[in-house]
Amino acid sequence: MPLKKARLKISDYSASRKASVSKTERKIRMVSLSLTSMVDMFAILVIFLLSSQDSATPMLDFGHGVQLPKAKTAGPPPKGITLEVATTGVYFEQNKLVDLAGLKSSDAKTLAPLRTWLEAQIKKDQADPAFGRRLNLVADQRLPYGTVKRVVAMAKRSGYAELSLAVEPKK
Amino acid sequence: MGMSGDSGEKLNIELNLVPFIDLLSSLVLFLLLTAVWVQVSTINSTIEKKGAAATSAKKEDSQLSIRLTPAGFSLTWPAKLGGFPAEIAKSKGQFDYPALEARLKEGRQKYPEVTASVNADDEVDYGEVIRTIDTGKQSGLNTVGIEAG
Repeated sequence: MPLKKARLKISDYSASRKASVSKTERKIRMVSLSLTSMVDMFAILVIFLLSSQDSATPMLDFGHGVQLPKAKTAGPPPKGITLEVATTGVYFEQNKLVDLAGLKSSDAKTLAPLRTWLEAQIKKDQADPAFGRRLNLVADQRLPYGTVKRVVAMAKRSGYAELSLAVEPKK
Repeated sequence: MGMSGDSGEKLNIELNLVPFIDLLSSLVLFLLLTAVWVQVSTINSTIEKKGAAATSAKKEDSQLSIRLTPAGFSLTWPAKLGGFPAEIAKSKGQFDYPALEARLKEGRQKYPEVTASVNADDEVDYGEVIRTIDTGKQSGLNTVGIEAG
């Protein structure tokens, strides 16, 4: 009986050892992350983001809470300088050229920075034939037309002949 | 992933994907930050001087002038289409764009060379002017200018 018991113990030992090894292996497998699917996901995301960035279309830089009007017959913006007419004033990039109140007044001194800027830009544009005499105008749809009209009239006097009016495409 | 070699030793050929994931995640962050979420397009227009049509005989022959007033649209047709109706009143306090489109299409059918210039009273919203230019382009007008001054 004791011998039989001992034999049983040996076989029990090897079996329990095997079980303990497989348990450890199982534990390791459970802890390791499956990174391949994660890489797949990232790769798809990168491809999507790269394809959605159309580098051929020039970007119009604007901010200052401008609400763009919507239009169906719009096309990609052409290359050119962008002037922004917001509800707070007229901007070129982050620089405020004229306050909106100043734009409403007919005081030449108040409008001088805008006029000077437009004249300086058209001189620059003439040096680069690719720009032509086109101005990209980003204006808020809530503005009274009289305000925008003053900017357009000033652009015309400075030598601009064509406008690209920024809109949000409507489907 | 493990693989048995000739000597019976296990070869560890598992790729270290962690730096690759680092690279991809930083690329994703960069692309997300630089992505343009607001799609902007433009409507091309010419700047017309006020009364330019009257000074140029050629323009006078082909140019339609659309004016937005607080009462509605006021149209000045070229001489060849002089008999066309000139006023489109507001409908329920809103500019009647379907009526304008129908009128412009009718005018263009009779006189395909017609071009248009848009002007508005100072108090009219800029958004309405853009919608008028858009309606003109949808009606098939080749050139829709904007009057300044």
